Amino acid sequence: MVRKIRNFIGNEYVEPRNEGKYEVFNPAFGEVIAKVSESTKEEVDNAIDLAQEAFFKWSETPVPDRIKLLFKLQKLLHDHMDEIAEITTNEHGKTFEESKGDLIRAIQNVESASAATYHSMGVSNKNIANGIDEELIKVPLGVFAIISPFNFPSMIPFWFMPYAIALGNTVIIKPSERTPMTMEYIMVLSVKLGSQRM
Amino acid sequence: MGSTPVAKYVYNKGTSNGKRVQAGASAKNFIVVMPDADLDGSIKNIIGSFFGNAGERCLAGSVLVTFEENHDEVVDKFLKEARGLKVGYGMEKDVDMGPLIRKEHLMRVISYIESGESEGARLLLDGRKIKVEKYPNGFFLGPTIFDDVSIDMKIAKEEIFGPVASIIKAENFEHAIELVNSSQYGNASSIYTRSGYYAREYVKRVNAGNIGINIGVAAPIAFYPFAGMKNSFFGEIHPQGGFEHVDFFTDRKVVIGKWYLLTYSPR
Repeated sequence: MVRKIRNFIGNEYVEPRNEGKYEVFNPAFGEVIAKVSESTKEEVDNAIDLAQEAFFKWSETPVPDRIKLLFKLQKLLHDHMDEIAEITTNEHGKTFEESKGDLIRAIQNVESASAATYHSMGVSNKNIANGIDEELIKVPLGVFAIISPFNFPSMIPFWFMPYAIALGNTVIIKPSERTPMTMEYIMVLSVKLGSQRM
Repeated sequence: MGSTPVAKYVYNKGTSNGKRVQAGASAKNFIVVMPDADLDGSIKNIIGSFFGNAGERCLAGSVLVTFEENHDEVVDKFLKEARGLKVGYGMEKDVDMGPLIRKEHLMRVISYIESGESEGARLLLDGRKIKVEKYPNGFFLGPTIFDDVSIDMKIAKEEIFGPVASIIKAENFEHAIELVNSSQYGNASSIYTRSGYYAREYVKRVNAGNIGINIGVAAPIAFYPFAGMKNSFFGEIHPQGGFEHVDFFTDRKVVIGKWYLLTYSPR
């Protein structure tokens, strides 16, 4: 029997309520390798509530501490590149080299987002009128949602996720139901980053 | 990220509910090979654009534009390289191209090949004939090449998302630009040339967000935005890095303040 893809919410696995509706194939073998269930509204609402709750703490975390997490994530993805790429090849079909390229681009976005210490700076004018100072500050927004396609299972969620979290937001990722295993595995690895919720 | 109807729907639904949305959509990318291009040095790069990731990427080359002066030479070299690609299971070492994502998608791409045939394009290489002995149930399709394609054919207009190349002969540079800009999409486009003039004109006049000069997959690196135009992108700020991306993930708060000298001591 093929296994069901699990949800990852609040730093732990949560068994989806529904039965697997969609099939994940290894397209080279033409075989079903996993199933994906459609989340219920309650499950999605719960994920949003937890992400909103995490936001209050995460947005208060100083930006240098936030990007320390990105440094760890960058190393983690590098250290596990071959495993992640093999999962991508088996669920998507692209060659192992292409899968590694997919992940390398994801990693480059983690690196790029670690400039958040600079990106989050504001601007100010002292004495814009007599005795009056004015400044612009950048503040995080809240919970972001990422709906990513099947063709680059690791790169495309990372076009958004590292920037969102570096700048103090929280994120919900819905990977493609056709290629969900790459992000599922990256989330397994991310447990190693510590107890902070992403 | 998805097809244009889905991206449009998500964009409209999100923005009408007061949310910020970046929605990447379909593409149809034109690759122009000028007669002065370094063809031998570029051919593998051109092939990578059309058949890398089995054509399942929004930056994949889909239409190859040639000219009277170089058409036969480009076609010969393109065909020869495409024939040499090994299709198979991506974990095996010498494999160049994997299968498509699903049986249904394979059938959809095949229906585009059939439409190309029925609309009168000349099939030079038929990917349907590829058999991967070891994996008879895989969703494989080999590189497929059509010549004598005209711009009004379905295979020249719609996103196929598979390893299918359509070759169109342009009358001159002006005509090539016209062909490229006739697309409803504007994700990526590339020119192969040794002329700085043509390269510069191409950048200026082509309505695509990611432009390659002697580079077939114009994928911006992480700290530049991934810039689609026209029906390839819905939103203002584009994915990936770049200073404006920071604005997408933050709100601006402007603080104006004045301080008075306290005339009493607070307790």
